[in-house]
Amino acid sequence: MMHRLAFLAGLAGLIALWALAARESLPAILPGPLAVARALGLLVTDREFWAGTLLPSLGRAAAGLGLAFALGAPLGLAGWRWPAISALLAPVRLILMGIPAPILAILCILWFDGGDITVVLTVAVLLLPVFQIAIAEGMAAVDPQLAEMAQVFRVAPLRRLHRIVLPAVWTAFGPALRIAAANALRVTLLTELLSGAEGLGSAVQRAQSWLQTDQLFALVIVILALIGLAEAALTRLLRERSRP
Amino acid sequence: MRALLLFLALIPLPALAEEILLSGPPIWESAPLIELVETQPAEGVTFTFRPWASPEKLRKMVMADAPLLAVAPSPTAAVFDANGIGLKVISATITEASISIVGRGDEVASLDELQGASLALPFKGYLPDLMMRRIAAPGPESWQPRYTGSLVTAMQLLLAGKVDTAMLTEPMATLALTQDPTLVRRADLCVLWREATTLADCPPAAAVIVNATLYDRPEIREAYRTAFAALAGDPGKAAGLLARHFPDMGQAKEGFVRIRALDLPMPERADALARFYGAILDVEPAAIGGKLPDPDFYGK
Repeated sequence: MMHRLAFLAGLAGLIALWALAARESLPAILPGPLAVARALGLLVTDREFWAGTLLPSLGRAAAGLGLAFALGAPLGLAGWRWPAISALLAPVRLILMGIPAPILAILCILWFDGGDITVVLTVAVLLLPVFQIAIAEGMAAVDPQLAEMAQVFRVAPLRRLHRIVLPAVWTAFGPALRIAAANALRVTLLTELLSGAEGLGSAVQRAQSWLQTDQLFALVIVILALIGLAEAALTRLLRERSRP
Repeated sequence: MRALLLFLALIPLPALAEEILLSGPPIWESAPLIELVETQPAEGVTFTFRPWASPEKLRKMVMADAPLLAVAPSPTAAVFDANGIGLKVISATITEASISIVGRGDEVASLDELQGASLALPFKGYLPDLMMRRIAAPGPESWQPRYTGSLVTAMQLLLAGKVDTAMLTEPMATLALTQDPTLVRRADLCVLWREATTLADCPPAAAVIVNATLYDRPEIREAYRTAFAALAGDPGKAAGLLARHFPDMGQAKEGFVRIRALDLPMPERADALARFYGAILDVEPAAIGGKLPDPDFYGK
């Protein structure tokens, strides 16, 4: 209760400071909290914003995340099972992990259609190593003695998967998923900003160039809320999974 | 000691020249500003040029106390004005034949003849998109936008065959044509614009703006107009001038020679700029700040 009150007091103080600073500035430079709340209200009640901006971005982020998992998980599994494959993939993994996201986005824009495919592929390529490493490390964390015991006692494969393998994999995969989900949205926005593909990124770009700073702030709040929601949902999932 | 101080006080100090900052992006319209820097034609004034790379940087320069004369996209100038950022337009620039629709196929007299061809152009809501949407609504019967992050990307998509056509400004249109001989200029945007809007003038896409410190300075306006006239007579010269601040523009001469540049002095030609804003207001009011600028904006 005390913590919650302190949090609310901190938030109220922040908004009061913001309101004071906004009074000394042009709305186009720093809009006040009320103006931003109004812009946020207009944004979330605008059907076109949901259909033409938010959902396309979320769809691309989810598709990129799904594709990264679909490719990264088998590669991680293969690398764990056959270390030669892991070594074979290491140079590509190092390049993908080292390449700055804007550069990869620019290359994908040049090589693909500049629209949905570009954004999905950029997200997938950047997140693929995260899942590959997480699955490989998770599999390596499986207790060999426990696995051997399960084999000796002829524990059913599904039960073995559920009781021994998945809990071990989850220790590495859970945190990786949390990071990847937030990054999927960030990379989506970045690629949309660079490619001009219609979505949250280009909406931010437009709000900036038309000096609709209240709308820009409202978009930032939407983006923060989305990342916060994804984080909260995954944290809850992680907590539930880690319960004995 | 007192005599020495008196002596020093009587020595005439060299008059300090007023420094005026000029700014613009790497486009033909910025070249007259660099010509001013090269020729320094106004007595007691030193012109310096500093490019702006984003509207945000331009806004900061406009709001600063230092005297500023800058080239801005016309809609950006109107957006600044609508948001209370003090500025006036002293001129607008038309560069006829500077924007082309480049692609593979025959020349077209209207966008309907593109029959749903994909057309690469920068961000939705930016000036090229606004002009295209004013000429004809996008759709499967006319043109289908493929928004890109920049004009360069639009050109690259065209060269890679990822789009049917691209809207390109000079020198990129000429560069694309030299890179791929199968490409042609399918239309001149200026011609399409006049046809669709029934306006007499081509789009005055650039505005020359000054901040409050330069509102009443006829000699600065005169100096700008003289520099503009010198370049309008020899548009290819702009490439060399721009290359001093934007090295890549050194190769732009071939594209620039075909430009016909017109200066619209304000407030005398305010009507042409106001009609352009009216046309943009029809398709996207937010792009010019939601309303037409007041007469004061044009220095009336």
